[in-house]
Amino acid sequence: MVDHQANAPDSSGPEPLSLKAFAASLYHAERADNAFKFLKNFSEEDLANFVQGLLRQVGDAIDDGSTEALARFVEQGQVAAYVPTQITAPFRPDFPDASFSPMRKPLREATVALFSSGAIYRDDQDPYYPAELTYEQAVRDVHKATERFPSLRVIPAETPEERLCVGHVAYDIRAAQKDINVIFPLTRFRELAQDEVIGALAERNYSYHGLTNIPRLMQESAPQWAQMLKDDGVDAVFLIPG
Amino acid sequence: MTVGHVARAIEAIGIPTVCVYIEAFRPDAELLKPARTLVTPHLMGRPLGLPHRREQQLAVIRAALRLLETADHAPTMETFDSWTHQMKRTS
Repeated sequence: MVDHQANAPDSSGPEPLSLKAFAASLYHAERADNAFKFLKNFSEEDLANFVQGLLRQVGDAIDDGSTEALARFVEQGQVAAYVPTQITAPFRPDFPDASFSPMRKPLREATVALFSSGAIYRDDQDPYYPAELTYEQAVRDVHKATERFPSLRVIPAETPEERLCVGHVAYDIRAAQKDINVIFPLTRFRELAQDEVIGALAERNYSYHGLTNIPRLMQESAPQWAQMLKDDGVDAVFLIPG
Repeated sequence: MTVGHVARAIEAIGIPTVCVYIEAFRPDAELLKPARTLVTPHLMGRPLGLPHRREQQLAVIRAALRLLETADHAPTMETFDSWTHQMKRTS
């Protein structure tokens, strides 16, 4: 093995890539990676510390044959990257406490609907981004998602998992593509109904693309969708974020 | 994390709801104050746990469903560590 110590930058080559520039490229840019785009929020020092810690965790995971500590490390990194940006966001209206509707029947007798902002759709429905775009293009055009009006997809209770697709452009969809239950737990709820933990899974379940036009969502779509769920006669709604 | 907006509208029409949020977006849940929220430690895109970890997913779902029956006011928020199964009521 050769140790290329003399591998000095070639002055005629491209500009050296800084750690910060690399992290920025993960955020809906040339190296778009929705699993690690949160690295963009770190200071240079925090970024270096995270990468160093990540490498240590990867080494331990290889040696120990367990990825739990690695998963927790990345989860905690995501929290550290996102929480401060939300608390200091310039526009944070204070919402009054929500209404509270008590359960009117025991859970084991209740019909529960799933409602996800994870942009789930069936293979015979349209995805949530324009048909002329590939998914990768839609990820890079993430800012346009907030201009699109909310649209809803109905997912019948008996839909086979293999017919479900994921079109969200702002989170890493690879886990959901491996197992849709990480974000739209249709199979888990069918099992819970069979085990009589819940009375039934609703015949109609729903998804929309959570990154959307928020004023339209609040003023028009959400009240309409609520009325729809009332018309469906469900007893409770289980909401899962995208 | 816009499900909080939808949950508020659904509760307002008389249907009980429970939302799952991830820890990274806890401030959003604290801001939107949906009636019942379960906060999990997971990554975006995997709020209920990791792929093919059926027991982990079920633990999160069962913890959220319990909130439907046990919460008596809005907003009620619980934090569930699905790695250790520790539960903490935070509001």
